[in-house]
Amino acid sequence: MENLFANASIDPSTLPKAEEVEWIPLNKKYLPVSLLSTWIFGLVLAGIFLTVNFVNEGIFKENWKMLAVLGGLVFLFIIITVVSVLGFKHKAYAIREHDILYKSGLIFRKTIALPFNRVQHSEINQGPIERNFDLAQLEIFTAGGSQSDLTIPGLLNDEAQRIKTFVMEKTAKHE
Amino acid sequence: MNEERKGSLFRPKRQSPIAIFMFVYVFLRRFFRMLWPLLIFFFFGRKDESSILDSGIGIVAMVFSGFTLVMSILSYFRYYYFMDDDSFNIHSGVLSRKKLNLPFERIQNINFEQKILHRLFNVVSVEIDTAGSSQSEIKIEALPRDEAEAIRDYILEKKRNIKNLTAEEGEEENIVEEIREPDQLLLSLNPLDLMKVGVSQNHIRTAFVIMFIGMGFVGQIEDILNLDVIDVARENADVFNGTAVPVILFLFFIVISFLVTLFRTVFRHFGLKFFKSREGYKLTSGLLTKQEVALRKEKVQIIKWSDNPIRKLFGIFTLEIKQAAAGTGRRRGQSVEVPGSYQYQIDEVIGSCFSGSMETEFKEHKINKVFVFRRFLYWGLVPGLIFLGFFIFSRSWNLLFPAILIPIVAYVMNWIYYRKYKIGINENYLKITQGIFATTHTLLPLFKVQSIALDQSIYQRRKDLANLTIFTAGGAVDIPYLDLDKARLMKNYFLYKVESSNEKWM
Repeated sequence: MENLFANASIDPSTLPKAEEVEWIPLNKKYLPVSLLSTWIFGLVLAGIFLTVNFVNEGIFKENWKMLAVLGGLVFLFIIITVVSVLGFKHKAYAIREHDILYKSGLIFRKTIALPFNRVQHSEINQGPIERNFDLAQLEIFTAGGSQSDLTIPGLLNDEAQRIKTFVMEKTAKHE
Repeated sequence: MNEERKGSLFRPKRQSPIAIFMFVYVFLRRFFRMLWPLLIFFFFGRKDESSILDSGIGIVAMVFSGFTLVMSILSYFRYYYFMDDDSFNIHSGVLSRKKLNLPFERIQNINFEQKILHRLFNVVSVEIDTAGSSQSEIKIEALPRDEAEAIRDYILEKKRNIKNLTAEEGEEENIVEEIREPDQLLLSLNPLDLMKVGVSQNHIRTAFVIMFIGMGFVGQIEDILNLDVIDVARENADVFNGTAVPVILFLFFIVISFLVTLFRTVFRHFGLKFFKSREGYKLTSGLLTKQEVALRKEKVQIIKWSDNPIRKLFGIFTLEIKQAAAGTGRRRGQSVEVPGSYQYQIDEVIGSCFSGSMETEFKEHKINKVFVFRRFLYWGLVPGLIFLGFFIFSRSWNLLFPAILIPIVAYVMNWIYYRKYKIGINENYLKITQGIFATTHTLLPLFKVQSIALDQSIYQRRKDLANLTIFTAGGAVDIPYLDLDKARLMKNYFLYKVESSNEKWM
């Protein structure tokens, strides 16, 4: 492999390789819990639709039209489910000495790397359903805009706290 | 600064009374922007249709506007600012009182702006830029110019002292020396330069903007007056020769777009002066609204300069300096645009801002050629086939034209894009050159990168290709269709540069 630039004092190919890191998968509970939230959302959506239709005495007077809408909704949620199930095993994170990595995506595989000395702050979020299963989501922010932030879902609450403390300690060292 | 003046800065004071005008002006503008359809209705609408409902809306609007007017005047009288030993304070609020305390070390920058009303009374509006995610910007509507300058000088001086206390002794001497150095004028636009800049703007973009605004405007008038503009146009079009009308309209449209961009340029960049100051750079410009923006060197994340065919003719570039945004979200003042810059002026800015970036040569890398075929597929072949399908169905020859033209244009444009796309890397910097008709250069120091994303589609995975996105605090840079090995090498090297750096990136 040719070098990236001329007259280098170091050889980039000898640097630590982000692609050879050992990935830690998300907690196994994350998949059922995220599916549960998706389905509850789907049921609420279907419920709203049926209620509105009932109150207005049928915007969709014929049964087949109503069934078509409901069928479409079911189809959409089946696709979301399939993608979540297949995509789950591609979601993982890794912590190295100087940065944190997260990968995701079924069709578009994406890996994002965030150096600790660029972290602005971090947050732990828990939805109502996640809280019942002791899961949490860790969000780490940089100054590069929302796209450059790193979000790791499906962590046990303790684990999320531990990573957050670790990241903040690493960040503080640089200030 | 004399002592009396200095002392007066520490007593709570109101703004210049002109601020009342500013409050009222802001209020009136908001009022008209909200209610102009209603006003048009009142003046031009059919009188017989006005009902109790309409007059009801009118009364509510009047009461509401009267209330806001009184509030904005009261809020002037309840707005005080003053300084103490280590912070700037604002006390405000009519119903709920608010006390804002800004420690000097959190203040990043102080910028001035003069609207035409400000200029009549020689006052400025002051924008205080602060670090930290909550409330990152504070604006004081109107202060006498000399007082605003006194405040700015005082705060910046205090800030420097704070920095000096923490800095090492050796650096201290440097700072003292730098203070004596006056602002150095790098560039000023004379009327001829201004014309060049105006002529070489992107007129096509203006045309689109005018079109969309125009359509929205027409739509609103149609709603109010309850008529169809197309019908009206058709009725009146009989007067002209049928085929000439579109051509005349088109030419008229081009001329309007051209004039609009020209005037906008003149208004915005009139009397533009760009200085190198001891902290970084300073830019003043504007015909009616005069703005004065200061940039700090450390905060600069990306320097970008671009030409286009007309600019190339004049030998000028538009220089853009992108700063780190203090808070979250997009904010004004994040980047500064200096049009009409010559190459040597750009080199001067780059040399003083990103030191060492020009000395070592950039090694050039290309993106993979597959890029051309994939983009051609999405932007050329697929739309072309859709038009072809429509053509076959409808047998309308008008549709055959785009079916052939779109793929050809898409192929040629993507091929040029691929040919011109260059990634330059040296030990500390990344430089990307790209464009089709215009050429844009983007230069950034690697240690200021915030995070890096590498992504691959299914197709790219099969072909061992990847896209790299490099996020900085002044915007992101995308590199498409790199060979996977190279993308990984770049990613690892950039991360190494960030992680091994102790320099302040902002």
